[in-house]
Amino acid sequence: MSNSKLYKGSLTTIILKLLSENDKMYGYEITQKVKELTNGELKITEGALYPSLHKLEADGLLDVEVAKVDNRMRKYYKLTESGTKETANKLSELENYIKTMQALVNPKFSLE
Amino acid sequence: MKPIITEDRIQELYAFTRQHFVVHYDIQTELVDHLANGIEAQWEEHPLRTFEDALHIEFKKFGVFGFQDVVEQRTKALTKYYWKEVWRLFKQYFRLPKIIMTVALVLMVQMLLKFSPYSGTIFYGFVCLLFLLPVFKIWRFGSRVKKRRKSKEKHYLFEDIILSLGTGGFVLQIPLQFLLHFHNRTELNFDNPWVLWIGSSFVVFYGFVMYLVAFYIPKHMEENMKKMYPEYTLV
Repeated sequence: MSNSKLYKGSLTTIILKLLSENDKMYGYEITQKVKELTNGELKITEGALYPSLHKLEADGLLDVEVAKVDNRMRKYYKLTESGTKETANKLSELENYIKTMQALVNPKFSLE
Repeated sequence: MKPIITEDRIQELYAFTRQHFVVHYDIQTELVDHLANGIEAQWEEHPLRTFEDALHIEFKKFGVFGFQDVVEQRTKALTKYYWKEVWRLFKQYFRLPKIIMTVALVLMVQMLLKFSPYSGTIFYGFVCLLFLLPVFKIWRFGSRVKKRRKSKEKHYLFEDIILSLGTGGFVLQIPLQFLLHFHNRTELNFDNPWVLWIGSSFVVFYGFVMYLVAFYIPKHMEENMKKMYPEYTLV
């Protein structure tokens, strides 16, 4: 991710979330989907995406299948059963993080 | 209509990844598809852009180290997978129903060491056999890989991981080295119940690990590879 170090720690969660919404995806498709969803605000760099995908695969969170598309081989990634569970964990972790940051950055004052 | 890269250009992309130090076909394949997608997307917006220029732009997106990070991380990830599999399977020998077989094997080795007048020779014989059989198996796997690479020039990363025993081959030699060193200094006394227990358990567990790294895991990884790349065959 080129534009902000803040996004760096969330790359895994982003990948898992995208795969939970799509049956299977390939690397280039993931980069384009993120770009599209964030209106170009977030760009996943190729040098960061593949290492993350390979790590998730080694951890047993992603399954892989290779298919011939056009005139070349394409490697697709999809969530395994433990990948689906991990996605839910990661998303709730991220939500908590966002809430905490919001409380810090924009605290609500009360008279209680 | 979406422009599609020709078969010849795909082969050029494979050559390009090889020039940039990606030797394994499985990693090359993923990178080639990525580069091809990027180039095709550029051609949609800039139909006059040359293949070489578009490739240069796509490659730059991988950063100053090019494909190096991808290769390093892929190797690390596959090595991690290898040892996770070894550990996962090894743990099974301590659960029902396999634990019954494990205990039975330890007791059998124990009886042999306890009652045989040649217990020392039997023990070292076991250890040498448990080391040499897997070495022979891996050597045979290596020669099959070499043959295929000569004819098809496709290297797969998992083959290198298996051949180097998950880059930890030297670790598996340590018990052997240690025992041979120990043997030169003193005799193993199997009348001592501690020595008997440790010796027999060691033979069984060392045997399990060697079986996993030389027989089970290579077969398992090869089957996975065949599922992913149906064209994958070993001579």
